[in-house]
Amino acid sequence: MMNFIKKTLQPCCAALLFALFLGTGSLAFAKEPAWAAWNEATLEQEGFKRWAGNSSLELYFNVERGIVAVRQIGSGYVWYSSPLDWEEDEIAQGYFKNALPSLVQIRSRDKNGTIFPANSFTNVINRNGLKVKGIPNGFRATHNFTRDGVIIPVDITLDGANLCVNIDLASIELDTDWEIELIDLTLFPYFGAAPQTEEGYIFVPDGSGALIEFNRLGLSKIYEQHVYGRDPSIQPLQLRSPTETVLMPIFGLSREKMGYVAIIEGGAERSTIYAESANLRTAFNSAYAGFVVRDYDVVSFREKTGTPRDVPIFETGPLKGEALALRYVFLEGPENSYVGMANAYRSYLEKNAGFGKSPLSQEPSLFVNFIGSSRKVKPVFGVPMNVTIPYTPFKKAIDILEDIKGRGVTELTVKYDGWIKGGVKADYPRKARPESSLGGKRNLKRLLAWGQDNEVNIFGALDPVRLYKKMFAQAIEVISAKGINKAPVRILEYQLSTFTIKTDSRVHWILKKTKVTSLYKKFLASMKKFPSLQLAPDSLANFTSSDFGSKRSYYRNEAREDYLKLLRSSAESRQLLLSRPQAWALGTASYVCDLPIRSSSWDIISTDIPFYQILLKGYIPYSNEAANRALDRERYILSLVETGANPAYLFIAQKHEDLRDSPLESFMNTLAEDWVDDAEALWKELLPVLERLKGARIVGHELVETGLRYGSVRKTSFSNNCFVYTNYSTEPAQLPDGSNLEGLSYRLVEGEQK
Amino acid sequence: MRSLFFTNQKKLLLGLLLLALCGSGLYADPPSRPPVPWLSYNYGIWETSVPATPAYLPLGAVTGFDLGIGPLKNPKDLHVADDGSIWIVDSGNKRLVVVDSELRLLRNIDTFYAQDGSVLELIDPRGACTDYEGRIYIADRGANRVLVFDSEQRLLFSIAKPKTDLIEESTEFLPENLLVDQLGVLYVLSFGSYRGAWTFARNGAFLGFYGSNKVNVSGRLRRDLIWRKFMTKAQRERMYRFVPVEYANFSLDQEGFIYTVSNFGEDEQKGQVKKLNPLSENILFAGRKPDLAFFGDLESVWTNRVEKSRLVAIDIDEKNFINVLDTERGRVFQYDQSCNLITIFGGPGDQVGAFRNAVDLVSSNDRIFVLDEYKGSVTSFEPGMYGKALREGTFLFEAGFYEEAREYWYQALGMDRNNYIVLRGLGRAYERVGEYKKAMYYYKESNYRRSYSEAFREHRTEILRKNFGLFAFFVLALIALPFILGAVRKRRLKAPEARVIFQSTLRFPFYLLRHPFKGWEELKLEKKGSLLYANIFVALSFVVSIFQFQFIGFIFNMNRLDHMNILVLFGTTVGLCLLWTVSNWGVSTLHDGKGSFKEIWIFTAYSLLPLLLLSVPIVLVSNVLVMEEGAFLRMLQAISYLWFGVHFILAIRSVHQYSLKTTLLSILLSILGIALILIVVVLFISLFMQVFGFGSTLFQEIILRL
Repeated sequence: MMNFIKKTLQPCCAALLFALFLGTGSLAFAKEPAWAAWNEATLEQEGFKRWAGNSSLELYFNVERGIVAVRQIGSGYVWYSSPLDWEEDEIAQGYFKNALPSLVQIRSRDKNGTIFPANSFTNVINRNGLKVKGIPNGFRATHNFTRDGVIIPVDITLDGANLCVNIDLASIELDTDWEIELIDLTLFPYFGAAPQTEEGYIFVPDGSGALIEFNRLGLSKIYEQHVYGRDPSIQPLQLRSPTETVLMPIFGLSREKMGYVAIIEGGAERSTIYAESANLRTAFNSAYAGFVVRDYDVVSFREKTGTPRDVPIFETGPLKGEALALRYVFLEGPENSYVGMANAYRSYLEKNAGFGKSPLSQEPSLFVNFIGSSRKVKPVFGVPMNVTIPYTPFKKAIDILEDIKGRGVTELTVKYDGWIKGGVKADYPRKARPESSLGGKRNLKRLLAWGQDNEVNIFGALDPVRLYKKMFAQAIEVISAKGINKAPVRILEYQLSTFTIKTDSRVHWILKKTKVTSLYKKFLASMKKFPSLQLAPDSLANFTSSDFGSKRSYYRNEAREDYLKLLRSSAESRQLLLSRPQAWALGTASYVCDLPIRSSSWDIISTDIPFYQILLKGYIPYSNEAANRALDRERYILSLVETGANPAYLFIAQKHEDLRDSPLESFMNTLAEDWVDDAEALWKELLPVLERLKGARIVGHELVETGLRYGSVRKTSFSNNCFVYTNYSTEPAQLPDGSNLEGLSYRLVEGEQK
Repeated sequence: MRSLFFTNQKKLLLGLLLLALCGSGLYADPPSRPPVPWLSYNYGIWETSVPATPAYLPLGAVTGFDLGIGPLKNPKDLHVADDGSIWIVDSGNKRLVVVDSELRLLRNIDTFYAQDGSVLELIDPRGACTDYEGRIYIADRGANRVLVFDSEQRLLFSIAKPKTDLIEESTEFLPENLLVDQLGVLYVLSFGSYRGAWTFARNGAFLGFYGSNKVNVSGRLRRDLIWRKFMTKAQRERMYRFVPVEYANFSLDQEGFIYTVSNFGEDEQKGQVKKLNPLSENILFAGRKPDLAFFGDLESVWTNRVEKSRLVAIDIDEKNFINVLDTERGRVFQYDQSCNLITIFGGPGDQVGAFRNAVDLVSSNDRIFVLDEYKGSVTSFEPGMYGKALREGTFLFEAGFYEEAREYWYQALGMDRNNYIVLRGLGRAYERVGEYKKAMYYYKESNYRRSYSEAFREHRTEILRKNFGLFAFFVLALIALPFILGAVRKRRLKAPEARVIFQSTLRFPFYLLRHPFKGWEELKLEKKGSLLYANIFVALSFVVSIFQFQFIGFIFNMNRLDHMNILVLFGTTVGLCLLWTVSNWGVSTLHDGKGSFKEIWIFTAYSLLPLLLLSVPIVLVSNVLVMEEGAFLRMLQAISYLWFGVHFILAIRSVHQYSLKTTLLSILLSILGIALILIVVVLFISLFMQVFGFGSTLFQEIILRL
């Protein structure tokens, strides 16, 4: 052991001394440790054995230290799974320090319910529990956590220019005497971690996307977000604060010389993205993924004294689910940026998820989202009844669209929510039967005819996944997904002021995936009556959940596979519009709406970036969240021109009083008559800019540091040689050409040479 | 090792609790999270939390690191100087940090000098403020002193505990918060001092105490007062003293009034905020009852303790809005000068705009700054589009410019049609320009009955004026009607004896109305009661109760229509009649009553007739009266109840052939009987529920184990 430390320290010290010789001015040199450029021979000499190689990468493993090295042949740059000088870290203490040189961290649980955290350095390397075996293109490092009774084989391979890390869940061995359960594990926690001396950022796909600057100080919490949100089959006891969702299973690190973007290929639904800036736990900046193996829920009991006690309960049954898989794509040169990460991920999606250019070219167009109808409990002649409220009858929708069109908005895209019998959050859409209070089939056809005459795509939305009203003759226990407590998952409402579940909460359930599949197919068949109505089956693309029931239970990834099939089959006959879809569904979308324009703004996040927009622009037309729901008009406009996004509005035509105390109470700002003037003004202001950006891709995006928030002045470069400057701060900023850009304004520049 | 596992399990639980699952693209909810990290809500017209458009947006937060001066360590206090700069009291580092409203560093004051020029070490600075001359006042709790510096941080003088008879020996001087008013008077809040603010003149001379809270008469205090009466003197002395609650914090407004905020603990919450005049009187205007104004969350939750708002700071901004800070959940509540809740923002958490331990707030140029002690950061909030319109509208409204405010109200209305402040404002604006119909609509939407009544009065006058001829005819007709009817009657009923002898079953109930004494006896003796009619009357009483629930005029109708529960109404009419009959029958059989079950039922039902008959005029009249004329409605109601009461007693007397005294006794006993029956029923239900609960838990348990 000491031998190795010496071996690493020597070159390190040498480098340091050399740096001192050069003087304090050449800081850049001191930042780059010598091992980052070690060649084959040095690596071998330092105990790294070469296991695989191809034209772009070489894979090494130091079995005694348990550290993986990947050498990029082109640049000669070497990536390590842990920083080699981890022992000099003065910030990390105890467990966190030992986590630094670990490939795997686990938490296991024995039959007494005690939870044991362990990391591979302390519990595997130091106890001689590591076995290495060659496999095609790489090796298998079998980690035997001897004390914990867990054996995990980790496959590390090269795939072209990418590094892949895989764990097959079925091959994990657990001690049966102690009834050991593996709760979760973290893979490669410090892969490519950047030391404090470096500048750069971590990319996390929180909401629209966000950056975490290296070496942030004064923080108390690392970044931690479930990919695609927490499994809806596990409902929290309290809802304290709203957050944006991670819609893409990726994370990235951009260091001074090199960067990577990691794609969670397998087990994304059960993964969590972590990111920590140096000074929080260690002296390194790092991003990584963790995977839940045994999911858990919390049950709250009230003790006799009245104090609540929360007890975790874990899922049972055999270990199954898809293999956990991580893919690291390395970025260098100009690609070492978040735009590069978007490019890398886009080409990954093109190869694996059918991502491509949308057949629609709705750019620019005004996106209008109507809420058709919904149900509400109202007294009718003294009897409380579940009445359907026609918020936007088809006829009125035509009137509004005609009005907007008459005001000069020539290009429109329409989404119609709640057009099916019962409306939004009401009856299950079994058939394409238009709600009669909206005007029924006849008036819907009239609307569709209007759409065809005016070349406006009209998308009918539905929610095939959730069940708001019990279905006739079918017990909830039979058709709905179950939670870990084996009872049907009940999605409840929370008291906004106290965060607890409302006592008079409305309830809804989640349908089992088999049920969704069979019912959705029937629905599709019934859509034949409306050949020109396009589809927006939002929840298929943004709401996957597990079923923890005992028989035929499944995980979210299985639901995702089934829903993807459904989306593909509906995309064959119709255009699909998806509302903030999870990345895997993008291949089926012709139009994407409601894209987030910000992150959850965690304290650790330095700035929000429009990563999702960068990914889509020029490929799939999209619109951001509705303008009448944005609270800051100026900054909303900036968010549109920054990426050339379509403006959007959410409308109801009438009966706004009925929104009160209804399930749609939060849409009190959608009455069309309040907003059509605003829509006209917004369209007229944006049209000249959006017209110029039509069809162009985003090839560059830069942040300039000024004002209260980092990155308040931004520069977006488009593929057609257009540049957009946006100033999000209230104060004027100076542009590179020396001119001033007023606060909260933007400028389009064409053909700039830079 | 053991402890490590433990903490980890705890952490896991904590993590689970903090999980939020919002934003996952709720179908049709344009699924974006609002641009704020809290669930934005307001208290609606029914005083329950309802979703609201956020009025303030977090602009950003800075830590000491971001300012480049190392961490802020347990910062305790914020102060905004006359030039708009924000002073942070960094207690742990014993320094003052000054930033501008964009949160950029202006000054980092970490050295102070004594009078002789030597460096003066602060011990535990808790609060600071500046005055018009640039003097810096620092409350050094550790040194039991207030230190007064000039703008160059040189000590001018220090103020220790004044030596005066006014203050007990045992009282300690632990200054925590400071204020200097326009006249240069210094106000100091000392920790644990219940006598209000200590005031000092410009030269440091003690002036006296200012504006202490009154002892709060809580339930516990009342109970203890009774206990005291039974105690010995020694016991009484050992008991705690009733002293007023100390102020948590205070603030000055533009006009120089001092606003204070206190925590009354778990018992009582009203009147936490006071606006004091120079005589220490609370002059906060809240429907003329300043002590009843309520601040903070209306809803609370009981976990292992009562989680309710704990107000720790107050600030009055340039437009005279009152901002109070709730440290329990990191929320800022903004009120107008009439104590109407304008907006709520902030929340708990690790996002920008959410807090772990918010301790103070100040405002400057429309922005609000909140200090978080745990995070060591200052967060700035700015009103968004909606907030600006809402605030401007309220400001003009409060100043009496109702019409000018209308434009802003309309802007705000588009962004949140649920805010009753906006709706009320529009109502007032329309009332001002004489559009009473519209005014009534908005007042109704915002549930402002008094203003609705005023607008309705004008509207009514308008209609009357327009259709004067028609109304005059109606009134004349109404006056003439009795005479005409009387004449017709006289002609028709020529043989009075006939009607006494024979009354058909059909008309008997109406005959009863006019002849209560004779009639009930006849009903008993001649068995004129019809079960069918009785059932119809009881059914009608149910229908009428539904009718009344909904159609009593808005001004007098306090019912929540969407909460109408037909079962409850059924229970309180038909159910009650049945219960009464059962109970009364039970009582009367033991008490020589002559009435059978059927008879009691019929008699009870017949006695309901006055209530049924008068309900129609009551409903009709309630729709044309304004609030001031409510007495008339109440009179009508009283008549109907009185009439019913008389009939009821007579009916019971006749049915059992009791004397009046026995009747009253029987009624009383029957009411007790009803209570008894209800208790037994509730007992049975709860027993059944327990058995059911046991069964379902067992079932769950079995399923879980399988």
